[in-house]
Amino acid sequence: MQKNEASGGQIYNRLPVLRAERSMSRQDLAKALDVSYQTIGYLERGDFNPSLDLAFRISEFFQLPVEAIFSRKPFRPMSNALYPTGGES
Amino acid sequence: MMTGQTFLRLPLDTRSNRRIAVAATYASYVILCISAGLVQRGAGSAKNLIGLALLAIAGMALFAGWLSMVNLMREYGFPGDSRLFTSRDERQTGVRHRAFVRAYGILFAVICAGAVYGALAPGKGLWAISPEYRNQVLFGAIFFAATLPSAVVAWTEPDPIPHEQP
Repeated sequence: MQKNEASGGQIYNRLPVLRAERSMSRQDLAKALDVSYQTIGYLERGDFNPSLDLAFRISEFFQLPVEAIFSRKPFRPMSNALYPTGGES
Repeated sequence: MMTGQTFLRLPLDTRSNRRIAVAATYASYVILCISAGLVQRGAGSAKNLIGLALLAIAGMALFAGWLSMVNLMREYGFPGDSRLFTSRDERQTGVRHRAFVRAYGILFAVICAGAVYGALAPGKGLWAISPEYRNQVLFGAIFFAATLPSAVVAWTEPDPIPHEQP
């Protein structure tokens, strides 16, 4: 298989969360990005690292900076990022 | 990938089916050669009819196999080239590139093994390629070389994950 074949390191991403927030299916996102729906699955599972071009296309689509979607370190859960003290506002 | 593609009505959406299609395509070339020999030798006899029937079936399977392999590679095309290829997907293009690399490796090994066998066979009393089979071996090698990258993709691509399918 082609697990992170190009770079040798895993790139973590928030694609599943962003997609779920917008109630989008993998097919919808794939269509918007002009890739195969399977590629979205590979990206979400971390089995495939996108090129810069695809990463920028994704960031343009979600209207977020690239570093908000992709990271070399695992992301904290979105709820922890929003409510760092564990639910207290 | 390979959505809606078939080989003689066998849907090519699972890896096991794709492997069957690849094996059947290459086996059909061997059957085609054998049936052509039967037709040549048994003119006017029952052997001729069997040979002709086998020839037709193997020819159809070979053509269907070649067609499905061509279609398969169209899906794994080069980004931006819409004249011949349909894909702009960089992952699929990567799969295609790796398949070519692997196919060249396999081809190199097969050619080396063939050359060694061809050099050693006559001295050891093994079957050597006689002139009447030379063309069949040559066309088989050309067909094998031309379809091998597609066969590698079909053979190695994993099954789609059920919950990710449309």
